[in-house]
Amino acid sequence: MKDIKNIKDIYVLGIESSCDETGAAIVRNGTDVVASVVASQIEFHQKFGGVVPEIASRKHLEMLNPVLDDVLEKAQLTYEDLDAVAVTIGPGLVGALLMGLGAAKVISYVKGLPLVGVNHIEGHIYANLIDHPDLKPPLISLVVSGGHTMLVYMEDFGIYEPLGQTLDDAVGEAYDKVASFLGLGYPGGPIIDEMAKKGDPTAIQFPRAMLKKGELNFSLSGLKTAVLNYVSHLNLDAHELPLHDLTASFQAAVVDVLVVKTIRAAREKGVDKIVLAGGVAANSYLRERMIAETKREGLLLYYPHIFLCTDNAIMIAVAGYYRYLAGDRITLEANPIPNLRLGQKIEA
Amino acid sequence: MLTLAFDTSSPVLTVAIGDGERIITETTTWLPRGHMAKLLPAIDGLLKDAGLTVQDVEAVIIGSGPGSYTGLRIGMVIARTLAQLLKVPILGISSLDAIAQRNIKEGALICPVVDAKRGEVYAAFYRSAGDTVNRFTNFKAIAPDALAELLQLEGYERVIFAGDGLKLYSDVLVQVLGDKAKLAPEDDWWPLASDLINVARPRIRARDFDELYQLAPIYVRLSQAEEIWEKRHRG
Ligand SMILES: [Zn+2]
Repeated sequence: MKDIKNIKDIYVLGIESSCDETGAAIVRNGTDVVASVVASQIEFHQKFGGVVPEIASRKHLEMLNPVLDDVLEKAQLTYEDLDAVAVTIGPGLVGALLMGLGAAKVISYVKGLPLVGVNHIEGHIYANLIDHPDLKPPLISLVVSGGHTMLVYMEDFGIYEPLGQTLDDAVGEAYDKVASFLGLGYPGGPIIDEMAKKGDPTAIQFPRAMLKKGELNFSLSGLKTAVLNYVSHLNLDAHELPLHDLTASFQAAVVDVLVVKTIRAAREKGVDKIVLAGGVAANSYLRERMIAETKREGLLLYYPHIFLCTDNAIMIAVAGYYRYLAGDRITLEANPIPNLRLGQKIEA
Repeated sequence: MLTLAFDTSSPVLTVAIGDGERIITETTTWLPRGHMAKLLPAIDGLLKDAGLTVQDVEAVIIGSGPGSYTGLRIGMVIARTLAQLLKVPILGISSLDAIAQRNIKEGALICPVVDAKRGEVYAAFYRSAGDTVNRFTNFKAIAPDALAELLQLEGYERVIFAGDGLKLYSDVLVQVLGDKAKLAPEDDWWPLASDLINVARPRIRARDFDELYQLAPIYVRLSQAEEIWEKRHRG
């Protein structure tokens, strides 16, 4: 790797620790993944049915240094080969964010590298640039994950207008809650997606919340309650439940709303590009339906590789590369911004 | 051996540089919040004032708690990454050891009491041994009245208490132990970086360092979620 390094190449080390994945990645020129390492903590949170912030912070501290060693080893690079360090500064769990930020600051300080703060959600959107380096705004992005459900109009790089968001549960959260209620385990997303493949999405008519004209916000708690009520009225033992049809119908209700509102947002803003981002962008049924509907509507659809959907540091390095080129820097005094909004200026 | 020491487990931010034997310089400021923002600038400022750079550092000493979880982790991730990047050894010294070292007194039992929230203090028992302290119990998170009863039962002549647990619980301790309880002045409640170096001295001489990947804060307790889970599932 080192010997073919072009003088104009820019290597960015990305660090991600906003939730329950400890990640480090090195990306060349904002598009070529040189190396990526993700240490997942899922097994430590599983028995609690969700991410426990204190455990997440403890695990990030344990894993960050080995993950950094691993990524440099995999890349066959040294810190001296790097041009910048990019780190998730928010949004996320404050205790978790602190760990990545602390490590990134030390790398910047000891190696004299520019330090760039990255918005985690922006990272999810920028994950699409790995496979589509020519992708340019304006576009509509549907950001769906365990913690986020939002529609954003990206007018230009770094310029966002939030169009709608969930008023209660995030999509991933709704999946987790329904999966937990049905006794299917954690995390709910991939489990329900798999189970639903053998079910009939039209078997049960669950409500499609807030589909009224013009509305771009989401609400998922009603759907969750509808599933609960439906199951309790069946009055069956757990093993007798029609799990395939239940999960398929639940998923259809979620995805219907996501698809309709995303296309509505594109029409409203007059853009023809739709970008999926976040962990739920890995959901096979969402992808299928989005591909079909955007095709019918004559819109262009982009979505990242499965491994780029869930939290990772590649997306942080990519977003960090653009921030680096734009001259955005944070200082050694920077603090995490747990409620950082898309487009909010990162001042530190 | 040029050593950089710091502790972020308490509401003070404290950084010291030593040469293994002697303390060269130290800075300590009251900082209830903001260790993430101020630690590296404080380290950099102290090194610069001493005419040094971070590349001169030959060992990192970190106050490893017990204390504030978030504070501890900020210091620990910065210490670990410094040691990793500089390729120098790292040494974790308990923050309670440093408090005990600061309150060393011949013949007395020394008991740091650090506010552990949830009605408890972090504590351990120490005796002086020459110019250093010797810890002869485990670290515990214990209710202050239970701690006082325990010390009363053991029949110690004189117990020196130090730490911010006194702000909340000095009454309880004095009530049970009477004159035997000696309360350190507030200036001596905090784990200072210079005391980390003082406690570390024998281990530095012996080149007895910690394994970078293994070194963790002394949490004493599980996370609350795990505690509840354990109670529910283990009876
Ligand atoms: Zn995410």
